[in-house]
Amino acid sequence: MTTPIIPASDPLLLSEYLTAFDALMAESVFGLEQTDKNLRLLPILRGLQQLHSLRCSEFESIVGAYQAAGGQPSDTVVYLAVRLFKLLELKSISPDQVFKVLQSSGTTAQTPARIILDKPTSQRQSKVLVAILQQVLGKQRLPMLIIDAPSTVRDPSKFNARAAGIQGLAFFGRDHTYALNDDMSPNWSEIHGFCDKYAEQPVLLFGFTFMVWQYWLSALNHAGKFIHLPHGVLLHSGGWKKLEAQRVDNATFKQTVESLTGVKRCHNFYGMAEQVGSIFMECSEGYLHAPHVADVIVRDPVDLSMAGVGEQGLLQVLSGVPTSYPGHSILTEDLGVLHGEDDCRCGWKGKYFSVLGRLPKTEMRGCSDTHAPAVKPYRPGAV
Amino acid sequence: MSSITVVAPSASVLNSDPSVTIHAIAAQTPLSPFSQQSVSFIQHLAKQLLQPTVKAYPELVALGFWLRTLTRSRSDMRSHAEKNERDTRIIQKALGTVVHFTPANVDTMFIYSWICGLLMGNNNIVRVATQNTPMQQVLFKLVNDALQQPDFIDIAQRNIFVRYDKSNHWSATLSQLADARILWGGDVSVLAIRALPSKPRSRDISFADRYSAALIHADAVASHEQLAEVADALWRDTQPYSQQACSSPKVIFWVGSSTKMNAFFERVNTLAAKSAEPSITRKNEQLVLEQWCLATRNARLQMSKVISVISLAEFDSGVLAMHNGQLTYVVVQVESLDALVKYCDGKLQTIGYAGIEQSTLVQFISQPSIQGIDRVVPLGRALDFDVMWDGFDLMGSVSRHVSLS
Repeated sequence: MTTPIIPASDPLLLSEYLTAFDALMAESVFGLEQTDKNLRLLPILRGLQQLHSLRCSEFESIVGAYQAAGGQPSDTVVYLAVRLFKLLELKSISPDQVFKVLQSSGTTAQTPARIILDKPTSQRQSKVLVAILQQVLGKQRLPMLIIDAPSTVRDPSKFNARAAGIQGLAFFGRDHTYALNDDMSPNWSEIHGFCDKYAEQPVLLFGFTFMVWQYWLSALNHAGKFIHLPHGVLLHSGGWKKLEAQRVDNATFKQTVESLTGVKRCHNFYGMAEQVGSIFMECSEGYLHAPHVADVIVRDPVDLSMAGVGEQGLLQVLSGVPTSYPGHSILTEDLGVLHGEDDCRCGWKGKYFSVLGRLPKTEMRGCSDTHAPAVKPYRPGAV
Repeated sequence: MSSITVVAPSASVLNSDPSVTIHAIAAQTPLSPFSQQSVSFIQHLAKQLLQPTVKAYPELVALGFWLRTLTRSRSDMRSHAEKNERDTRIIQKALGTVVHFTPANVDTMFIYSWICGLLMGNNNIVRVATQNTPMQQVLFKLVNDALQQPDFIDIAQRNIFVRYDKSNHWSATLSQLADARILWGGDVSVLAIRALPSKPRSRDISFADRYSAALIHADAVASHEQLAEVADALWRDTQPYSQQACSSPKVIFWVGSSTKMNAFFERVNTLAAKSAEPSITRKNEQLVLEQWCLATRNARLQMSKVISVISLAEFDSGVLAMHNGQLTYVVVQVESLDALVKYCDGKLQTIGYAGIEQSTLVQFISQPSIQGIDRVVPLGRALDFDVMWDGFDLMGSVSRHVSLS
């Protein structure tokens, strides 16, 4: 049932993939109807699955097993559990082709994911990101206020998804101004300088959702300060989990942004280190949309079957971008819900959805370490 | 000020300050082994656990039966305790204060360990994992009710259950009060607590990371009825504590023909579909292990339904480090028992067997190169608690043996 793999087909596969990918890139980013997108994107994903099977033996073993078990319907491609990128270094290129290794943020206790990039993949990521962001920012490079500390990108030991996110987005701005000091307190002189200079023109503000709330909006509120950037666009990314704990939802967030900064346009986006470039962008109605070269499938967490509109499930993310590592189809540990296809009131086509949070952690492992990490070394007198 | 919560006795008979109470308990004169009061206390608790209201928790019912059987005959126990060897008489006595550091994965394990300490007459301080499960709440209600009864005042004055955050000083403080520490938990936990100083003659009884296996001979599943029976037994060992107990089989050593293997796991899957607790994280966890095995081992995906079954050409314990229950079986098929010798490392605790003669097992286990395996039980009984656990005689370990000649 498995077709023999002929290595010679590799260059052919790659050129077919590139042709199909470039053709899709020429389409409108959020203008493709779902049936069109399926016709255009699936062959690309299939091509990537074949390509990575040829070039990455770990991936080949996984794909082979799920195909043999009949666990994969013909209208989709095999997905990898996102955690595999933390456990293994998956790559479809030779060591001398490695251009950059991207590390996911990961919480302190976890091993970060390692994403292996070659130059073509990295360039494709940038190209896709440009196409998507131009949909909300226009083609001009705007003055940019970064809601973070300059040390986040300066310190190479901290290079992580947050730094990568800032660097990726910095490309879309000019006169980059950091709104926070290295201790995360607001840098008022920088902020006021930026606002005085650019109050009357379009500007880009960017930060991670929680940072924006905690170190920017809360600080403004606390200090009783208001700033005035009526033509600004705020892009922000990162989970809502910490904000949910403070009972802050998207509507509250947007309202607070507008009342404290005058910024009326606010777009959250959903993306991950494992699929840099093909991000999912929030529309004017508050829903996330898949761009032309990416898609999302919601799966029932209990049996991983496809969930319908309105049913909560695990998000599988698909991207036509990566050729250096097998990350074109990933089952995330994020929960979300699909709201519909092609009929969002914002006018953008394709699937639109929301991210609802993280899959809860499985509580423990084996004979669980109830004391382990934190039993303090005994010091007489310390008690 | 580091906080500590007393879970039981709910209204302390000694003092309202937990710290004072703990020190007072540690200073109590212990009871005699198998004292009338401890035996009646355990019998009373067994009766409560076997009430119909507890039926929702099979683990607690199992505990009730174990306690009932254990205390069926007090005189038997006493004679067991006082052995005579030639002209030397052995008198068994309590050690003093036993501190139990209990695990989170098996949330009733603290009772087993505590009962052994209690029966031997010790004062017991039990540190219960911070996670408070519904099953624990039911259990503590029963324990608390029992401890309130005037008949059991001696017990209430010598036993305490506490919760505290692992980061505070209490593990260190309790270690200094202990004549024996019973350390359940993973290797890291055990080593962390052992690093805390205790009395010079204090004993440590450590239960570190272990795993268990099922040993199934293909002959055991030859007929339809046999297959169903063995599948039932495997499921009985898998379901409690979501397969996270050390004694639940995570590995299946399958001896002989694999013709019936698929039908067998289909049957187990049917049982799981019927009675496994619903979980939104399980399938993803299974997927991670499946894909990791496929990517890094010579592995085959045998089944990925409610249960996940991964066949490995060779077994290595690296797979166990990744395996966290979740109704996943790693299967290794071999032609004969001898091929398994190399897999039985020191971490292998229990083997649940089906279709293999006892005499064959004796021969197998006796091989000097097998460092692991402390219990061998018929499949389906892996979770029956035994006072011989992990190769330790639990009661013997928490008592002193005075020799008199």
